[in-house]
Amino acid sequence: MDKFVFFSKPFPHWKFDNFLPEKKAVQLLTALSKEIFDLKDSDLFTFFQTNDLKTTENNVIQEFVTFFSTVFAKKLESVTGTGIKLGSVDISGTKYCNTHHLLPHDDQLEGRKLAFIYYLSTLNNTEGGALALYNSKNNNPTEVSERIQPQFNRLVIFKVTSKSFHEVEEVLTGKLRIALSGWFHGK
Amino acid sequence: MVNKAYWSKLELVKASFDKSKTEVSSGSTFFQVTLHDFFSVQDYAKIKQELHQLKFKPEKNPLTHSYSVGKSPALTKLFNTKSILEFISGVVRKSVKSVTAAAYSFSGRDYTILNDSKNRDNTYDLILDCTEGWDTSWGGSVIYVDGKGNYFPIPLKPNTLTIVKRSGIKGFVKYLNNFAGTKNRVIVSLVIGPKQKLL
Repeated sequence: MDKFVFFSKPFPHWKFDNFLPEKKAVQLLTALSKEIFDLKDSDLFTFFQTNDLKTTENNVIQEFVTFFSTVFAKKLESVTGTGIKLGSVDISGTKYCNTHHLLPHDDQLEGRKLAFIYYLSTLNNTEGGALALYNSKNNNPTEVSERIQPQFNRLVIFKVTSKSFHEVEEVLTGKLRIALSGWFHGK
Repeated sequence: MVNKAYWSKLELVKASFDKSKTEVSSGSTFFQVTLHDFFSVQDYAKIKQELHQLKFKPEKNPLTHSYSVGKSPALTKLFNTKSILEFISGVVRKSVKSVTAAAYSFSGRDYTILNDSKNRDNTYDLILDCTEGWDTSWGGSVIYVDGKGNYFPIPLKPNTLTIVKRSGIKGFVKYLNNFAGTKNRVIVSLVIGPKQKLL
């Protein structure tokens, strides 16, 4: 795993490249591809999503969820200074095809402390799919401050606050944006 | 002028509006009537001409909407004829003395989000579609939802007026994706009385 890289603006977030040994990441991607993805479509978004992966019967995914919600969560607590309920994470697979998107929102819902996106595919900046982080004023988003492109085996974490406005920009290519995403909850 | 065919069938249109409850498992109701070729060819051409001359101003609040809006007294005047007001009054069964028109132009990456801040029950949305050759796969559909998981998209067809009664429903315009390219989609919103607000 590369170092945790911290960014304070527009709101606290961390980037971890090469999060898993590459072989493990590829195994996880293969396992995820066997899960069922349902289309989610509303005013705010269009994408495919799995059920919560805590209930999966796939051993590779189970192993990852256990590691992520215990061993890694403990490390994350010390790095982020955020109290996390260990062993409890909301996690699902997401698949964005061409035109899919998730419009600006703040992720705030009771108990959510840290949001995460673990990318299992790579899209360059002409292919869309970036995580766009917004500046805010008076708890309203103003303009995009930073764009993080999906990169295979990259984990992005951010604190869920009244200022954590973000969106997944539209995918503009036939390539898939595949990720695991969800939230850690407070103690 | 309203298409003569509708004048001769006003009672049918009224009945259609009253009975247009889309009964679904949840028991939701959706009162709407869709009137294709609503204006005469000449009057629709006048509306299109006025839209051409309008200056559209971009508006964006990332949490609620992104679009360009154009308003002018001349546009509103086109819809405040005796014929149109009487027809609308007949359909909604109340006296409509005036409407205010605003044109909304949506291009790539534009949208509106369901707005929970205002209760607009028992008001009416009147939406005139003014876009030729639009494909639903590009986004841009006007869609109503009832909060119970039921979606009611309104048809995409130029010179079509859709009248919707707000009754436990809210609406949004679906995000316009890259398939739309450089094309834009224009709708005219008619509001009964002087207040302005899209969906």
